[in-house]
Amino acid sequence: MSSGYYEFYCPVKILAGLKALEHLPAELAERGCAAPMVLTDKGVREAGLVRHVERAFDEAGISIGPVFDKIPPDSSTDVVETIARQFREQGCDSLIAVGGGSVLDTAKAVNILVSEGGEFLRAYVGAHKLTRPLKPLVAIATTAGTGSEVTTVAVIKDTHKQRKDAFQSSHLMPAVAVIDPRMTLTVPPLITAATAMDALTHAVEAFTCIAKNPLSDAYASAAIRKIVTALPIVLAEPGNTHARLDLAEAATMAGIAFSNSMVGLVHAIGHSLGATCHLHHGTCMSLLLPYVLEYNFDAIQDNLGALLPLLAGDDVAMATPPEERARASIAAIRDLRDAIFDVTGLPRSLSESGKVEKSQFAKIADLSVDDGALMFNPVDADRSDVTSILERAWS
Amino acid sequence: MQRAYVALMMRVVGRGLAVASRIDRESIHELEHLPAALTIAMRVYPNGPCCLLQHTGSHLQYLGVRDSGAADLQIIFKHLQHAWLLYTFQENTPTAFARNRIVLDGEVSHATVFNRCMSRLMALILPRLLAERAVKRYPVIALREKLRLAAIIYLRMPLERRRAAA
Repeated sequence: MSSGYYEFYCPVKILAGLKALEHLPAELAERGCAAPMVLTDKGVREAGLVRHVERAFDEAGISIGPVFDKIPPDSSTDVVETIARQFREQGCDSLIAVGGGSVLDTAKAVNILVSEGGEFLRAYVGAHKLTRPLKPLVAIATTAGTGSEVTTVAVIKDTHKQRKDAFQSSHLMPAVAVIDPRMTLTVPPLITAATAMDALTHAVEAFTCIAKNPLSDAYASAAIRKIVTALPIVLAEPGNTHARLDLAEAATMAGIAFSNSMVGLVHAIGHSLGATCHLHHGTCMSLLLPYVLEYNFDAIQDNLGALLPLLAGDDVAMATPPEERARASIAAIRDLRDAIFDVTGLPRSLSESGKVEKSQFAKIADLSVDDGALMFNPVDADRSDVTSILERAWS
Repeated sequence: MQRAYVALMMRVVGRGLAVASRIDRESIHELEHLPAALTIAMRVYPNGPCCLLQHTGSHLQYLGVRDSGAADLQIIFKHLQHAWLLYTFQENTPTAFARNRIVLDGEVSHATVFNRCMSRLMALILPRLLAERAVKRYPVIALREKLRLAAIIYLRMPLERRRAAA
């Protein structure tokens, strides 16, 4: 169905494939940058992934700039403001973010402060607050999930308010995104599964929410097929470079899709659940996806049915009557979650996660209805609707 | 014609929100989530009709149709036609957002609260058939309660005076 009018934007240069990292020095030189600051976290550095980047620069005879490796899994305004001060003190001119969603979002937020000026990130909370192109940012994702390397959004925890704030602007998009399978080869199965479910949720919500458009549909569809095909292979053979590349490409495609069509209620609740219970974002997505699809069912039945060939294969779709395809799509997602649970133990219910108390539902519901993603959900939800979804996801 | 209609509807909505924020329990509850002194502008880009409100801490105050361009939360229609679609109830606010007809300048969580207040106002003051086109989901509300609140809003709307921003 045509939406009448839509906009689609993705100016990020994507370097994808084997040895993609080796193209990085030339890309920075092309942008007149000589002093990049590298942002990462301890886990990524200890896994030796930053060494791949350093080696790429060594081979080009260029020394890499300072490395900040203390970004926590749930980054905050304090961390961003500390890094921005160091960036200025050390005279850096660009950013290279090596990590998962938290590192990439942190780098985007740092870029706001070092490009727009100011000491405090809070001044830029919200949409369309940025007034100029930011400094060149290279995003090197080490997980295949967030799609942050191609999105206009950064989500950062406000240290004082204990809630997640969203920053949205087309200027936040990185200049370059690198998809190199070496960067995801060592990701453990549980994180691989959780981040892949995050990417799957991006694609499914992009395809079923109200800002969908033909171009975002194309990216979302391709991403879903790749995730469903590649994820079981990666979980069975973690060293399979080609399947890892497929998964990383799918995450980027899902990121392009949802950056142009936004996401819905799964993310609205997921952001609040993650902020309240300190649960991994991908895990939140995996926990909530089937229940929100059921909640939206009447409004998204046709779109959900159209996903069945991608989720379960063409043969299953052909053998399923059209009126049963939407339910079969949800069943296929549940089957995928069960298969992932068998291999990785990724929880399928809130109680299974061991990190959520029912007493937290009211707070999660309060935060969820104020989340901007709710605006794009096909069905409105109030606090009691969110609570009932959480109840259904409990066990 | 479109410009005059949109300008009129901005006044109606602005004054209606201010009245509803004092008398409707749902609206009062929603506004508890907005910071005091927050200014909210709805306007048509670049120099179209505008409506300015301020949250006093307990309710919304209608500030008139001045456009200083400096409100904390700005809901900007990219073209007069887009505001026309919304105010003739051919399209609701979330759909207008989804179709990139509106630019939001400000904190997203504040915009979601404001959108709920707008939806609540539409559900109260419009006949159900029209209101269902103006909101994503028509709320559960007894007819007697709807008529009572709508009557108060319509009666007090012309008396709602413009005040200077605090």
